[in-house]
Amino acid sequence: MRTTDVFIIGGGPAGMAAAASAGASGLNVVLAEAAELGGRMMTHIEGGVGESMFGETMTGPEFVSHCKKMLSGMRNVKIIHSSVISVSRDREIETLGASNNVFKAGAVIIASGGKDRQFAACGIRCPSGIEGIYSASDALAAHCLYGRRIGNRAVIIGAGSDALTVARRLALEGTMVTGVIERRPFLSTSARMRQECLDDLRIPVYVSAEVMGLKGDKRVREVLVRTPQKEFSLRCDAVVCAVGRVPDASLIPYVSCDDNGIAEVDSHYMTDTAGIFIVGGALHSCGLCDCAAAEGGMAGYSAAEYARHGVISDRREFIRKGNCIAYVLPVRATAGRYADVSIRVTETMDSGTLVFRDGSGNIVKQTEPRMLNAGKEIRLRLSSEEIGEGECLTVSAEKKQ
Amino acid sequence: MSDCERGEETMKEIKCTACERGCTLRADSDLYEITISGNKCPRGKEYALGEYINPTREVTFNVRVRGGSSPVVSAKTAYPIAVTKILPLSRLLLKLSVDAPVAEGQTLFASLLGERIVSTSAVEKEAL
Ligand code: SF4
Repeated sequence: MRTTDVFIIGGGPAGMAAAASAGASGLNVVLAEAAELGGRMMTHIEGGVGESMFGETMTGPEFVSHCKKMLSGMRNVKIIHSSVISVSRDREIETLGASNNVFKAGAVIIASGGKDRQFAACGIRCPSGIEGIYSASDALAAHCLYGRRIGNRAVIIGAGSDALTVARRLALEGTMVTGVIERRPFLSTSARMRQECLDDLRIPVYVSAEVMGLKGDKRVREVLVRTPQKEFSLRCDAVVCAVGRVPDASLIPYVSCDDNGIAEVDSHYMTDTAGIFIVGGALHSCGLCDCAAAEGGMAGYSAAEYARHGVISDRREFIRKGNCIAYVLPVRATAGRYADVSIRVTETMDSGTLVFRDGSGNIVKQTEPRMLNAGKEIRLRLSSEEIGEGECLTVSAEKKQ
Repeated sequence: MSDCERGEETMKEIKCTACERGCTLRADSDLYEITISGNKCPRGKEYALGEYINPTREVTFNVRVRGGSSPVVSAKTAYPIAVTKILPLSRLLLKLSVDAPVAEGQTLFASLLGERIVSTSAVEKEAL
């Protein structure tokens, strides 16, 4: 058995940021990545990432090469190419490999990313064994890693940022996008994404639209769509299912998760099993890069602290969800420290505020009224005074005129 | 003859993308002046003027590579380009390829429709 101080699983933005910050502590760090370093960043060839780590924005591949350079300068960070099969409660990590494939670590960080939500999960009927259906990640990988197109005419289901990124990539590289279909009455992405990915390229988008089914014999040929006004069908030979990503804590099935499958973490991203941390897409749908990298950086630092001392200062539950909140994380915080919280609301409000109340109902913090978008996580920082000493806060979303 | 030359007022609705709020802006122009309305802050005005006169974007592509360890290399335009050029440029790029090896930041094409295309990753020569 080999030993290390901090063991990181996954070499995407979260994992690389964790390796960099844990490595900066001088402890021994092992990062295990089954494929190439970079994860989904290698297929995000668009710009706009890296601000939080390098103070400037760049494209995904450039971000990865920046990270690689930084990590290669750290002697105490070792990168191994193998996949992890299991992680035990007492932090024994079994990896695929010939010999010496079990590690014992002082702290473990799960940064292995989320999974694409599958077609079946959104209740779309689709003839079994039909060809031409891709996930967003597959579609991007086909273009950016394998240099292949997925079809001549594509329909995209979902209109989150992943979906829009795929739409733009296909349209720029010779596949006609006949429609982007969103179930909700609005797009959950920023106005900028919409302008640049759809409007500039004249890609039609249908909101409040439902997919009634797919048609085709061997390969998909048509998508049947229904909007409140009409029913119609879109011709295509490829369908990209980009209906979001789901967290994946399957390596650590023993930690407590909420009903969305999101592991309960404290503000260091440590789970309720001591010494085991989880960040980025594996924890929640955190967007592409900067948020994942920021979480990784935080967890790396704290994991090093845990590996060294066996504890991180006191933690307690400090926040619960109230009305109209789908989830809030983290749920535990360290006394005397700020906490960055991520919140998702259950319904979109044109103008709403997030209200934080203490145990006796007094308002501790209230955000400026603005659009609260159910399709997007809201992030904000609570100061140590706002978190307070004893009582647990409740956060709720309220409509404001 | 364009609308302006006829001395008619022209109007364009522009969705501001400079911040999360996404105000709907309106640019009205006659022969002498462009007026922006609907912006909740000065940044919006600046954005709408740029967007009205000459909207530009940063665009990225995958460019085909011959004899490389990867079949494509990621690339971007060296500077933001006019929106009207995006599709013509992308169609042109589909027909072109470069030879491996490619270094990160290498100029792949010095002038395609007047724009410089730069790689954003490296591709080695294919191992024989
Ligand atoms: S006008 Fe100002 S407030 Fe409105 S979207 Fe643009 S930058 Fe934001």
